[in-house]
Amino acid sequence: MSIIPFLGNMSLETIVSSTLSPHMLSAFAGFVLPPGSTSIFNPAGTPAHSIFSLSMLVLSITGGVFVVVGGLLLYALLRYRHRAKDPGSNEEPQQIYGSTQIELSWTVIPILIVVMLFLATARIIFATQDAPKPQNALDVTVVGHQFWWEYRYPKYGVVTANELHIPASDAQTHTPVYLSMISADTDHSFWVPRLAGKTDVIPNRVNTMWIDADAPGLYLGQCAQYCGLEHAKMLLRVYAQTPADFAAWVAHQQQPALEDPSVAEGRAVFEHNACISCHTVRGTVATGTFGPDLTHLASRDTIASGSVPLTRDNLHEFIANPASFKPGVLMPPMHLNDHDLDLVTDYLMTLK
Amino acid sequence: MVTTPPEVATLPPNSYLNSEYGLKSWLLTQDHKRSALFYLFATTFFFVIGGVAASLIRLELLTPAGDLVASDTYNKLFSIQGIIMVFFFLVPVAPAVLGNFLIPLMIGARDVAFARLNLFSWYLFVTGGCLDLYMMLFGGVDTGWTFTTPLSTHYVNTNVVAAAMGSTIWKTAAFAPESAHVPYEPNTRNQSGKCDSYHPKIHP
Repeated sequence: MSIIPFLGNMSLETIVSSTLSPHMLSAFAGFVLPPGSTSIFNPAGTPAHSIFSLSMLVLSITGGVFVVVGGLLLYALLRYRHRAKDPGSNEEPQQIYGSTQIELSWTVIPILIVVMLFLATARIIFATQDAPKPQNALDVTVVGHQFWWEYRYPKYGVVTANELHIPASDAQTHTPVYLSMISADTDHSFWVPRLAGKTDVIPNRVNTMWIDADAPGLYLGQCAQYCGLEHAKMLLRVYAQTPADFAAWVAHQQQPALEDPSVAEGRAVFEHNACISCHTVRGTVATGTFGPDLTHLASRDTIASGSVPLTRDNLHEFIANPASFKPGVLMPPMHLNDHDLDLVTDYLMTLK
Repeated sequence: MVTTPPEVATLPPNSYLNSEYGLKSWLLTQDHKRSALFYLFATTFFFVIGGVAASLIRLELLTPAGDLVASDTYNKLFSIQGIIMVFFFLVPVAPAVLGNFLIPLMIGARDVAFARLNLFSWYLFVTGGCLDLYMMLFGGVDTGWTFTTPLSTHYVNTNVVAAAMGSTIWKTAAFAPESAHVPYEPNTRNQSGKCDSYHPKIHP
């Protein structure tokens, strides 16, 4: 059943392309904006394409309204300005005490415009929400924490943090990823603008959304609901990979932590400190769940929820004083001596 | 034969024509125009505070790095800006300043229906404002103006109670009577004897 009866089964794209070409605009946006941008005008996923088309429809209608209203206003201001040479310019102008025709037109036309915009928006929302879920769709559980993201892949037994890996769609296969989103503390919001609209992550509630990516690549986002001190550095990174690359990534993440005898000392320091009460390294005694899973920490590109690249120096500084990158981070300074700090850093850098 | 004295028009005992100019006459005034001026001064004062916070936010955003204020200060700035501008400027400025000053004049009433209540509203406004000033001077608040739970109840240690109390005292206790008396005026307090169709249409 179509939600907009009077538009029948015409797709929004068809409607929009009769006024504006979204593909042309999309190509324009892609040319102007740098890769990895977070612009909704550079969509790269099915929900984002719908939102982009809808935005163009809304922009063209509201643009039309602006031109008509502004034009009439400008015309009235110029045409009927006070001019001394006009006859009767100093007398009271003719008073009009209502006109049913005019009042009906300026009531009915805006109502029709608003109803149309409402139905077009509702149609996009329902079409996205009610899209049938493929049997083999990948499920990921997203947990919002102050101030980082946890991703669990129940089907694969993989847990990771801050860098969400998904298989990219291609011309033959459509691989949407279904996200079940919960919060460990307060409200957050999951927003990767090039892939989909934002969905709030709320304690004591499971919200769901699905994303897909047109092409492999890195899609950036940001927690979009103010969640406390370091909200601004609660970044999102979505890595869309070819199915083969994604399968390889999963296979690698399923392995227990790498054991490198050359860093046994660092591992001992790690396991004899408070690290293990908050962090998990699979295959060791570290089974904490309050902080990010570190089993494959060194396979990630960034630390501190995307704040800084993962380098030995950054990791070293983060362990010594986590607040140096993220004031408000819930990890306390570990107060290790320099020797132990070096050992732990070396150990963590081997957790590929 | 009983003689009745002729009826003469009498002014109310207190009006703007015979009021005094001292501090006491202002602080206890029942003149809607004086109440409106009180609101004008108070909302302008808060507008300046909100404007300073907004300017600091914009200055900070000149560069991506946090080089003017730290993260926590930035969060407090946008919270203060929101709280002050919403509760102490945006909400009161039109009905309390313009409404108080103009509407009785526009409809030809001598004053608002409840002049003492009108003044009392302003004192509540100032009380709420003082609580929020206290909040700002002693540590600020970093929840945003919506005071979203559970962030504001479980995850911050700033002056949430003072900020929310200040905003709520004014919002519920004062704005309710303040807005309530204005719509009654066109029907109940019309003193002019003018025909209704000459009145400006008023929808407070």
